[in-house]
Amino acid sequence: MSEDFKKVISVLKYWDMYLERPNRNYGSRFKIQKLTYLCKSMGFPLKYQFTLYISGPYSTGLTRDYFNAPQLIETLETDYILNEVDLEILDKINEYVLIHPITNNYESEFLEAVSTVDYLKKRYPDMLDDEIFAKTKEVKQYLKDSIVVIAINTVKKLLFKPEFLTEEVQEEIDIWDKAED
Amino acid sequence: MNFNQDEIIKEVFEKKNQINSNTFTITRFILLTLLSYFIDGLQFRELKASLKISDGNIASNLLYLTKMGYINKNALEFDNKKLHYYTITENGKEELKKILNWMELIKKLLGETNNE
Repeated sequence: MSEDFKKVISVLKYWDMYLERPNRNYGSRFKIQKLTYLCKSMGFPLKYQFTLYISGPYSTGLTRDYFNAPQLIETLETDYILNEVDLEILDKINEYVLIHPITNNYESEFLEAVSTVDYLKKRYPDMLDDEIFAKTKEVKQYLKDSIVVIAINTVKKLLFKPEFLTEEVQEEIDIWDKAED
Repeated sequence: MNFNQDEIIKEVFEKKNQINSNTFTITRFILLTLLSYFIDGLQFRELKASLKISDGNIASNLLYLTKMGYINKNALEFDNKKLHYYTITENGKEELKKILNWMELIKKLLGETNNE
């Protein structure tokens, strides 16, 4: 088993996320891909490489690992021990993504929107929010406008660090909060 | 005289007959390529967003590939929506391999010509 996959298993275990075997369940594969991408993007130490287009964020390395050892997604056996920094990242994703009220009805679409917006923000750091919105809709036409707006706001929260909070930033956050309502 | 080129030309024509010519359209070739890369499977709406051709066109090409046993159509429920996703079969991988090997031969032939 790859070191990266051990870490992915430890993440799922920490979140108490018991999924069906990915070789038998498309939903499991989808969720593992998007969440693993978010973990890596937030700084969780993973080497998997992700692409965006068509079905992204998507990693062929991760796919290979869960098809090789699908039972581990059910048993959640791993010897990787999460450290303080890992836990901070996982708690943040849990708070802003996994338990967001929108996941009650649109969990898959929200995960796809958040991971896509995050990827685009990393790929095009100078893009403004309305450009990120347009780009997201360009690559994922089927995502609802409202979910993309909420995803943009969520990614801001995920990437936020206290030292970023200036008056200007607060004003912008307020505008997007109103859009979300 | 170039016996090597003779052999390659002969092989290009021989191997052409091993390919299902109905599969060798741009859309079907791309569909098989994408499904071979994304072995998790691809949703119809993802294919639609990437290929940028009409629903009918994609659907008829997917139907053909399904009937030929090259891909599988699978039901999926996502956020209470009933969707479909497609995966490549072993036959599909085999057919794609034949096409790629054939293209490799052509590449080799043209490479030989350019090296003259």
